Amino acid sequence: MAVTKTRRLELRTDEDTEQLVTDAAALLHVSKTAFVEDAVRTAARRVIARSDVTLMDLAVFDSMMSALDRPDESTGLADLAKLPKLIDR
Amino acid sequence: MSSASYRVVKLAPGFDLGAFDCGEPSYNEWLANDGTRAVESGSAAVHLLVETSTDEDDQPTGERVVGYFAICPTLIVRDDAPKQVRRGMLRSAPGWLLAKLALDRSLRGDTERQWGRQLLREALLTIIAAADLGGGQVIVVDPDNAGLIAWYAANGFLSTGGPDLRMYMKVATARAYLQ
Repeated sequence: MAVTKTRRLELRTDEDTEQLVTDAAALLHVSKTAFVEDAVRTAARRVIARSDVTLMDLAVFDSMMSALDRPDESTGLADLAKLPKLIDR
Repeated sequence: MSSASYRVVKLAPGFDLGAFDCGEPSYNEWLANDGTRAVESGSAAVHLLVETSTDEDDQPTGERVVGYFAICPTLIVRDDAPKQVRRGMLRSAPGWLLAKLALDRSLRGDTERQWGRQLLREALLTIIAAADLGGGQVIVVDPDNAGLIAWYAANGFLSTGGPDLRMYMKVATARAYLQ
């Protein structure tokens, strides 16, 4: 879907940051605008999503989903289970 | 001899939440100011650890809130760019977020009884029960500061590898060891 860009986001920055962004955008063969816009959008989405979405690394996710019903080994939990029960329900 | 008993109850009116002090102001304030609101709005369930003091005749002499944990739903999302998604591939899974877990200063540092781990076990059992009733096969925890990562790791949580400090455990793993 084509989106009409009618708004501006302006920011002041120092020379080093500007050069860093220029170099990074050049490495990806995209414009500085496209690079900054993408980075800002990603960062904003993560903040907004924070409370109800948990982002998981794709390899970790795939490995977890491939064996969701199979318990992992955990000496820590085995140890936790052995603690005497001090709290009533 | 006087002693004390402990139980976990859902947050309800009548408990003095302002006296709770875990040493971390943001956690104290969250319980006192936001806990009830979170329960009322349905955004989280809050469970209190309540200590009941008893006298030599085993009669209750008073009770106070000495810990709490909060649970809310979360969606675990595979952190990739949408264009990498292949048709039919699972990209997300429902789960439970252990959003807060805090213990009063008076109970901290007890290496024999390990109240932090006691409370964590109650939180995990609560989530197992929720998963039994309503699905969600992953438990996520938000360690909030880097110092807690080792503690959660020592209790079975693994890194999500995501952009924040969150860690996870399969409900199946918790069930296998704690039930």
